[in-house]
Parts: sequence; C-alpha cells; structure tokens
Amino acid sequence: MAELTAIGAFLSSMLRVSTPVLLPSMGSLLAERAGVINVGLEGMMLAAAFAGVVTTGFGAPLWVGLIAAVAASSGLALLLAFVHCQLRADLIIAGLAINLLASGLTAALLFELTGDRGSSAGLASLAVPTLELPVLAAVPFVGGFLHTVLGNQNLLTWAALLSPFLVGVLLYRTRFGIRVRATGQNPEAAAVAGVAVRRIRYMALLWSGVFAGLGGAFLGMGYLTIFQRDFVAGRGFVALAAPILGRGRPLPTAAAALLFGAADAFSLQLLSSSVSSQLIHAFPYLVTLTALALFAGWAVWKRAATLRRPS
Amino acid sequence: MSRFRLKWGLTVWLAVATGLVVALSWAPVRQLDAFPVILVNVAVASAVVVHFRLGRTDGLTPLLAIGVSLVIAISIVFLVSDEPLGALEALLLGPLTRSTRWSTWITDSITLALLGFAFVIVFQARQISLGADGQLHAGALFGALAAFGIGLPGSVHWLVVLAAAALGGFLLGGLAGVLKARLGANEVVSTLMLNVIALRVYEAVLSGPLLDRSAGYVQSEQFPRGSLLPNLVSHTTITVGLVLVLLAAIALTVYLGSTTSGYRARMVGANAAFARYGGIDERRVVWLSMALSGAIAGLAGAHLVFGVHDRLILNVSIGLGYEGIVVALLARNRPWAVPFCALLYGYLRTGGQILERESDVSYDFVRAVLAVVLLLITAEWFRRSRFSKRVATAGDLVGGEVRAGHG
Repeated sequence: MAELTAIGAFLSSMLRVSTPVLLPSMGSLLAERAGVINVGLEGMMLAAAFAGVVTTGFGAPLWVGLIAAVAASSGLALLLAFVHCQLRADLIIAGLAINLLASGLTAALLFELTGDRGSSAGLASLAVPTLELPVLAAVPFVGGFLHTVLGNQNLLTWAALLSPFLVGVLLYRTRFGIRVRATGQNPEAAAVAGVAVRRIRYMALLWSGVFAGLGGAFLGMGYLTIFQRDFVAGRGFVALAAPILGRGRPLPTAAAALLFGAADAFSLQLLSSSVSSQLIHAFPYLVTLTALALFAGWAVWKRAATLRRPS
Repeated sequence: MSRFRLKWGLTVWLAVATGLVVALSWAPVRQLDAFPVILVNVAVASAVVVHFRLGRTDGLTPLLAIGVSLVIAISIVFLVSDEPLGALEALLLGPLTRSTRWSTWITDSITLALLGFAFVIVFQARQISLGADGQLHAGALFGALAAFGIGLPGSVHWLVVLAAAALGGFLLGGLAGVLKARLGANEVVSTLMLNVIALRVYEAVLSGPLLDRSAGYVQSEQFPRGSLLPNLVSHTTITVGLVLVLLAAIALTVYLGSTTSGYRARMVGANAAFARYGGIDERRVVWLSMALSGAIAGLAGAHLVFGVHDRLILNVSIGLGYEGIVVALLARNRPWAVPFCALLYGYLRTGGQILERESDVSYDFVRAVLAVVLLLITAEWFRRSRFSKRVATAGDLVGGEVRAGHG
C-alpha cells in the first residue's frame, strides 16, 4: 500500500511538472502541422508568466491576470507571424529574436516595476486555484490512489490534460483543422486548392501563442507563484521536440511531454541526494534529446528494413 | 504586392512603436512626458516609408535596421531615464571616452566576430544550427580542464588551451551534426536542447570540482598565468583573440571560396537536391559544417574566459551565443565582412553596458532593443537574399520559406 501511495505521489508530481511543457507542446503541434515552427515558445511563455504575475501582483483579479498572460504571449506570436508571413523573415531566427526580446523586456520591466533584478518576490501575486476532488476518494478499491494522483491538481493542469483532446478535435474534426493539415503537408497544393496558406499559418502561430500563454501562466501562477528571470529554462524548447516525437499527432505528443515530465519529476526526487543539482536539472533535457535521437534512429532503421525486405 | 507589404510594414511599425510607448509610460515608477518621443517615432516611420517608396533599399537595409533600432533605443532612454541627455551620451559616445571602454568594445567585438564566423559556416551550408551558446560553454570548459589539468611551460600552454577549447566545441557541434546527418534528427531542436545541457554541465563542473571555495561567489580559481591569452596591448583585455579573428576571416574566406570542401558546403546550402544529384556527400557536409562551426564557437568561449575574465564564472554568456546570429546576418554570411559588423554591433552593446553603469536605464532594455535589431535584420536580409531573388514561385504564393510537414 505504501508503494501505491508513493507511485501516486510520483504520478501527481509528474502531471504537475508536465503541465508547463504539455500546454505549449500542443501549440507547437498545431504550428508544426501547419508547416511552421515556433521557436519563440520559450519567450512567449516567459512574457505570459511575467504579465500574469505582475498584473495580479499590482492588484488585478485572477482572470485579468490570465487574460494578460495569454495576451502577452499572443502579442509576441502575432509579431512573429507578421515578420514571417508578411516580411518573409526566417521563422527560426525571428523566433530566437522573440526569445531574446522577451528575456530582455521582462527583466527590464521587472526592475522598473519592482526594483528587483532577480525575481518578483516583493509582489503578492495570485495563483490559479487547485481543483479539489474529494469525490475521487469514494471510488471503490482505487479511490485513495486516484485521489492522490488527480484529487488535488491545478485547474491549468486539468486544462493541459484536456488540451490534446481539444487539439485532436480541432485538427481532425473541423474545417480549420483540415486546412492546417493540408497546409503542412503540401502548401503549394493547398494554395492551389484555395486554402489561404498565409492566413492558416498566422492562425496556427497565434494558437501556439495562446497555448504557450497558458503554459507560462501556470509556471508563474501555479507551479510557482513568483516570476524569476529566465525561469522557463528550456521548457519551450522541449515543447518543440514533443510533436516530433509524437509524429505530429496529439495523443503521442502529449505522451512525449509526459515523458519529459516523468524525467523531471524523477530528477526532482534526486535533488536531496549528493548528485550536483545542475546535473539533475540537465537530466530531463538529456532524456528528451536521447528520445529524439533514438526515435530518429528507429525511423532510419525501419526505412532501411523496408528497403531490404524482398518484394 | 509591394504596396501591400508597405502598408503592413507601416502598420506594424506604428503598432510596435505605440505599444512600446504605452507599455513604458504605464510604468508607475516614472512620470514622463511621452509626447516628443511619439513625435520622433512617427517622424522616423514616415522616413522609412519614404525610403521604401523611393525604392532605394539595396545595400542600405542593415544600416536602416540599425537606424530604426537606435531610434527605439533613444525613445526608451527618453521614457525611462530621469536625465535622458546624459544617458544618451553614455549610449552613443560612451565606448570612446576612456581607454578601458574602447578596449571593452574591441574585446566584445572579438567574441562577437568569432560567434559570427560560427554562424556563417552553418548558414552558408543552410544548416540552422543554433548551438553556438552550448559550444561556447563547452569550449570554455574544455579549455579550463586543459589549463588546470596539463602543466606546461608558459609560452605554449595557451595554444594547448585554445586547441582544447576548439575540440570541445567541435565535439558538441559534431554531435548535433552526426545526429542530423546519420539519424535525421532536427538540428534546431537538438542544438537548442544541447545548449541547455551544456550550460548545466558547465555550471555543475564550475560549482563542483572547479569551485574556488575561498571566493565569495561562484567562480573558479584564476587560470595559471601561462594559459591566459597573451595581451597585444598592455593594460587592456585585447589579446591574441584579435589575431584569431583576422586569421579566421582569411581562413574562412579561403575555405568557402577556394576549397572543394567549402564549395560543397555552399552547394548544399544553395540547393541540397542538386548537390545530391551532383554526387556530393550531403551527410559529410552537414556534420562537418556543424562541427567546424562548433570549433570556432568554442574558441569564442576560450576568448571569453581566458582573455577577459581569466577564470570560469557563472553567466559567462548572457544570450551572447545567439547574438552572433545578428553579426552573421549583418555581414550577409560573407566572412570578410564579419569583423566590421561585429565592431558595429559591439559598439551598440558596449554603449548599452555603459548606459547601465552611468544612468538609471538597465542593460536589459538594451538587450530588448538588440532583439528588435535581429528581428528587423532577418526580415530585411532574407527578403533580399540570393535565394529569394529568383522569379516568383509557389513560395511567393505561400509566403515565407516552404517547409516539409509531417507526411
């Protein structure tokens, strides 16, 4: 029974640390299916976290903070979409520029507003509430386990858990979704068939900004209740890798994000041990990179095997 | 078409400018008079429009980008600072005022030029490898291991250190290169991931085995004297790094222009499919260009810790690894132009640092402005690049670079 509780606690922690990767990875998935890559996710998350923490810290109610967070990240997404689609900027380099812009601007404004260079410790910012589900404990046999895992999760974690299904519906059951997929598969053909490719890509980048905004909001108003300089720390980059591991489909992409979360939760448990904490923090990224390499290698091997097979 | 683009360009420019103005004037800390700043912005916006109307955009565009960013920078100074004129003087003339300052400018430009070279190599082969930041840390770390681990007579020790740093960058860049060449792993994602990992490993080694416990904060002991890069100008931080930049400029110009290997890299960059049909081993080009780029980025890391700081420190590059892209783009991927563009960009950067020291404007604002420089340059540069100059293709219909999606 003790093992079960420990597993439950681990899964609960995994869901919590997966959230700020799972949400942006859904945005990254939409962008990739439209044939664009949003390297600026990292900066968008940072801007969102900053906007949420600062607005609520200066007395705005929670919903204003959430709107500010999503508005900040979608604003950056709009800027990225504009310079790419209209000014023909290289998307990857423009995305990096977005990251640098967000990093500089948030740090500068943080200092202007609070007089603190490192974090928003002086601000009493709000947190998105958790969803208490005591009902789960009443489920026969597995009630205690279920309650440990899901009974006490943040609302945004629930949003993250639902997002793959939402994105799945968006991609496979709506007109917008089929246009996104057509654009990603063959933009010329889609354009000839009458799809407004540029507009679809605008929308896809904007959507990715919205998801990044929710992820950033969780980071600053759930996972922590504070803004720290550059505290997204590569999660936006992991969100870029997830759709590749998930081969562009929502549920496998979510699984890839959860894999990162599992590695992260595992490394958090090691923190009290004697291993250097920096190496521990590198571990989830190493897992993601290894998964990426293994996955790519497996695809190469499979292609070679298909060629070898006598027909 | 062009008029359409023009209209949009104007709109976004105004939106960005007013957005900045609104955001900054909202800051409750400062009471300010935003009106003249808005006026200046509108004036510059109209100047940009006139510039495009006249159609004289060739050759001027990088300067234009920098000019526009300067205006943004000046606007921010006026909005944020209590004594804007003094702050402006620090930003624009600061690097020239004292010998320590212009030596900082030159030193900064050396690092930027080396990073610029690193990006030129991969961009010429059209590999979007963004790993310079991680390779810089790898170079610094390998150099430090060679400095502390190998005891050698003074006159050659620094050469060994440089070689070790180049090796560190070469290995890390080569790793991402092999991942792409052999397994087809996306180099954008893998290099970004490697950057995070390399930074963490650097920090782990620095705060573990190499930590100087007598110092108040996280840094290593000073490197042995013989392993430091020899000074070219005494009492400054201008070291043999300068020679390294000149050598690299010559070597790269020769490599890309007059060797078979460089020709192959450029051919893959210009048209990968054509290069494959021509019998060029694309895989080799991919990993070699990324590894060579890593080696030069590693040298930049060595220059930072062995030429400037003389020890390993935390936050040795604050986004510097990405700012090399600006230099490569300003130079339009021509190696001989890189040092000049590095000087230009380095001047802005140093001015920004002096601005922070002498006034109440933080350097982070300057970082934001420099990001806008990058955004503007990439917009301008790629529109006028060789690759997009061909006749209208399906790409024009689609807008932007066409990428293969998931099949």
